[in-house]
Amino acid sequence: MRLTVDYDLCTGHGRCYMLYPDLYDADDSGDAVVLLPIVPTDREQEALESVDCCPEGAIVVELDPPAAEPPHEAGGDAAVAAPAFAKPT
Amino acid sequence: MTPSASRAAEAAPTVACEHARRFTIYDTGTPLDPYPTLREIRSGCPVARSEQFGGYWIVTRYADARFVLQNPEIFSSTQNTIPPRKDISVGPPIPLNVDPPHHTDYRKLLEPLMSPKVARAMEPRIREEVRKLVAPIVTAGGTELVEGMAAKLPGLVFLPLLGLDVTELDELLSLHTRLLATTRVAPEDREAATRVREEAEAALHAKVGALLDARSAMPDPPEDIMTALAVADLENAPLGRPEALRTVKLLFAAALDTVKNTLSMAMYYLAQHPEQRAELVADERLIPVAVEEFIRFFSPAPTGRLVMRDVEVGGVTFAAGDMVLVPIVAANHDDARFAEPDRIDFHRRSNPHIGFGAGPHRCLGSHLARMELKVALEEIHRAMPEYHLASDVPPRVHGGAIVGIDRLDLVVGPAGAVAP
Ligand code: HEM
Ligand code: SF4
Repeated sequence: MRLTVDYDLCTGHGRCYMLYPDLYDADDSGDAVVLLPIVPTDREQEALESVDCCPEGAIVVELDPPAAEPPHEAGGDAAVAAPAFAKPT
Repeated sequence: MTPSASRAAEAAPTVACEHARRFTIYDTGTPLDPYPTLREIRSGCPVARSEQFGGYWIVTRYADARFVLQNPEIFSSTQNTIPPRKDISVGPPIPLNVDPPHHTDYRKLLEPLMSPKVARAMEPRIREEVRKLVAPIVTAGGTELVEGMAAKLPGLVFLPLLGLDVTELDELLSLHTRLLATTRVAPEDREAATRVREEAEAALHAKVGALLDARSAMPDPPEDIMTALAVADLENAPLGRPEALRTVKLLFAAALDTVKNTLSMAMYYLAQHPEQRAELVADERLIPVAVEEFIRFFSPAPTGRLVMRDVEVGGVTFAAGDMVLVPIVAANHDDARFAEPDRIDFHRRSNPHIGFGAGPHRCLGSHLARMELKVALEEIHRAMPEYHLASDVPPRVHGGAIVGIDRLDLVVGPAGAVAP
């Protein structure tokens, strides 16, 4: 699983690094820095949950391409939990 | 859907839309439910039209509010109050009323000076100030908290941020009150109020001007906001004395009443909910979550935008030149986004609230505001884990630019608890 922040959307609310300090840190202006861009398996659940904390919809989780599954929306399960707020376009 | 159900669903919107026509942010309900009308509008007429102040749209759903705030090229901040701001003798506030690309330059200058790192560095000093404010309350056995504490804390934090001394707090607060003299005034008192405001503005301009000059003259000025405004050069946007003044004046307006009112309303809530208060006392780690929840729940700062081109929002077409009100509190109580939005829950897992706005104008002071609120709640509850309301009469709630309560009389100690 890959974890990225879309810097066109991130404005530095800091919800991610406050709630998930193992996954994110802040840069000098308060924007997010991803600490685990390749998410270890035991952190995947946390990474998926973290998508949902961002007021800008800036957090993107990409699932590793599975052998036999339809293509995913960015956000995977978390995007399903909050259908209206999957990353626009 | 059965025909009768669909007719009922159709009937509701007209009532809600009808109520929206009269809605303004000055019409408030009770402290814990300041805008019952907005709830009705969100469910019955989510993108509504008010006929007040020359007419404007009201956007009440989370998704629509975020769309408006995240798209500055369609929704400009050059006008963001309804009715438009009048008291702007030096020009509109920076960066609040500036659009990208100039806005981006101002933000790049200011963000590092108000970052999470800066807020963390300020924590010990904030704690010391809070302790000094709380100790006499415990000794006296109670207080009027709004003016007695909540109004003072943000000023004490903000003064050094600007390079001023904390001994100047009374002067700062008096200036602040006088700058707002014309905002809540009867027409017959307007002339006198305008004079008060203009004198306060002249005093502020002189003071800030002198500070900026002093910073420019220093060989090794401290790294803070005042220095940045005095000496920085921006790539695209102008930054002379007028722009510096417009920025400082905004910080005045944005830093003080926001934190004051959020803290006051949080304390009003906690005074009436001893079980939830006990949770915070027992486990301080819940306090940062509680702070976010209070900001979501009270969302005291509404905003607005000017429509730059025809655009559809939630099935309604706005035209270039229209004004849009974004009552952020409505978005943050949208049950399409937040489970049980009208409940304050210190264990809420998913809380992507937009209480600090969204998009490029996301509150610059948010990291500082959170730190102030966190430390205040920690220190208050360490020093006085139990307190209750001195009176059953709910305080008056005022609407407008920043929603808040005017008074909060607290008694320290356990009570014949007041029922919620
Ligand atoms: C609980 C406290 C606070 C709340 C709820 C709050 C809320 C907001 C909101 C909603 C906005 C966006 C307005 C818009 O989009 O038009 C904003 C902007 C701003 N806030 Fe705050 N604020 C708080 C505290 C502070 C503090 C303590 C400071 C300063 C130390 C501050 C400084 C600013 C500034 C400078 C802006 C303009 C940012 C820009 O336009 O780019 N705020 N605030
Ligand atoms: S919560 Fe979202 S907007 Fe805020 S810092 Fe994290 S990624 Fe950026």
